[in-house]
Amino acid sequence: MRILIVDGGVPLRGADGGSGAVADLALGLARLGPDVFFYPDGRPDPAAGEPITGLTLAGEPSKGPSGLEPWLQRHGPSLDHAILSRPGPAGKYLPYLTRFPKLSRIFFGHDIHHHRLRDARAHGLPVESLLVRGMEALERHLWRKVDLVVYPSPEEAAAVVVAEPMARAIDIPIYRLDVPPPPAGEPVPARRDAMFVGGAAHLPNRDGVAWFAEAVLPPLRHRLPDFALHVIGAWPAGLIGELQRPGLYFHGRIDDLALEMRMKAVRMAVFPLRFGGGVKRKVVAALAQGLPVVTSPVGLQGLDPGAGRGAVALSAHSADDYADAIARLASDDDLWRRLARSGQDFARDHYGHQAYDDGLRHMLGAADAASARRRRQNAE
Amino acid sequence: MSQADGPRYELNNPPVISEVIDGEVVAIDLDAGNYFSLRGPAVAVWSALLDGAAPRDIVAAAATPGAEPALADALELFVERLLADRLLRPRNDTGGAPVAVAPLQAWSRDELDYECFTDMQNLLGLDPIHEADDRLGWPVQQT
Repeated sequence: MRILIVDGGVPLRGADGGSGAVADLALGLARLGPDVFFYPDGRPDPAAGEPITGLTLAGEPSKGPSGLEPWLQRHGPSLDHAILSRPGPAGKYLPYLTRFPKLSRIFFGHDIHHHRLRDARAHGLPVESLLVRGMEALERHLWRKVDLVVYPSPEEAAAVVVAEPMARAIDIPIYRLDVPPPPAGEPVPARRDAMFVGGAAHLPNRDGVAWFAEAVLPPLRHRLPDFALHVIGAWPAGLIGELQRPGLYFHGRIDDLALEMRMKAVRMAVFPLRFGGGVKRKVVAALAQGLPVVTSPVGLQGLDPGAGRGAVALSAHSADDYADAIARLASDDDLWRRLARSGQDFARDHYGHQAYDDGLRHMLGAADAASARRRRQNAE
Repeated sequence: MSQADGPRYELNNPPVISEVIDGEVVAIDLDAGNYFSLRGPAVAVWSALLDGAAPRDIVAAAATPGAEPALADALELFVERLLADRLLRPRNDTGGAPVAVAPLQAWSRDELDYECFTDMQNLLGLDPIHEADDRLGWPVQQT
């Protein structure tokens, strides 16, 4: 089996959730046996971070679509699947793939961008309305034109079919996580404070931390005077200065080892996200490490409701909800242990290696069926 | 297509895609990142052009006695502009049956118009999850 993946750039190590998802996808498919080829739309930017290794590049990425065409001429007829990641690159490259009818076309959307943009606008962030409409047009175009649409959450897959009833959409786990065994004899009382993982360039992060600092932290510190939120990720100095207040600490980007140590030291992860789409890698990663999570329904989006959301994390909406949940988790060791265990169980069941690989097989099977249906319809 | 029918056109895809969202035609040039918005009578005319209808058949579908010259002039200018903006391209195929055009609302020259947002250039090439500017917000055009 031969698979081509096209994305907006080379996935970067330890960068954003989107990069992580594409790296997991490419390397995960290769582990299952197929020959996987990767085409990034544009030359890798060395300043942006360290590219993921182990990808077999197709064509000449620096040339855009024209750099892929000669490669497609040679290899297109023998390809089985093309996976187009994110709306912009997908829209740009899809027309070059439709000349190979046997090839199944999969749109790997990450999240429904125009929903996120619309929600951000509703929260007063500087998003142009025409961009929301433009993104909706592009995404709905893709939903109709590809054989299979893939999103990380069942809610998003369902939304696709509501908007475009002829589309075929599924959800699969888009992260492949290592879930360590539960820590034995965890000295729960030694843990303190909370952490947030995410950079300011992701607007839901910026909005969430600013809102938490303003609405939650001051009253919370009346109840828990020593409580602190440690923010991990890239935040510009100017913004840190604006948000600075007692109990809020910015640590910048840290390496994987330091992050793991930080996760073992804090009592909980707090993700006060007020908008945003898809399944959040940071939420699932915290659960996988056995770190209890307090977050909003937005933060829990896409986590299987059948698994019991209340059981894997504490859900909060208002400032009072957050303060109550954090205060409970800070003082109740039994609750902490229950959440740590159920979170890890959930992450293992839904985002562990087996679950991830099963999801990829499901995607390829569904894509085969959908492209066969398209060919039958075209022949009629 | 016979010469008597006159030229016919198709969407310039790639790189342009087009969708109708809430009665507005949204056309996006994915190479340039330009966004085009068509409303009013231009929507039905655009759809007829993309269906492969010849301009003279489109005019006939809207014409009332005596109005044909003005409609044809306006449509000609409209098509010229769509070609100049590379939203349409001439069809290469020859032959084929004429495309039936449902009755259309008549238009004025001003109504066969559209807006172009070039300030969106590059935005659609970005991942708006991750691209933001500390001062200008989200998303922001990269220069």
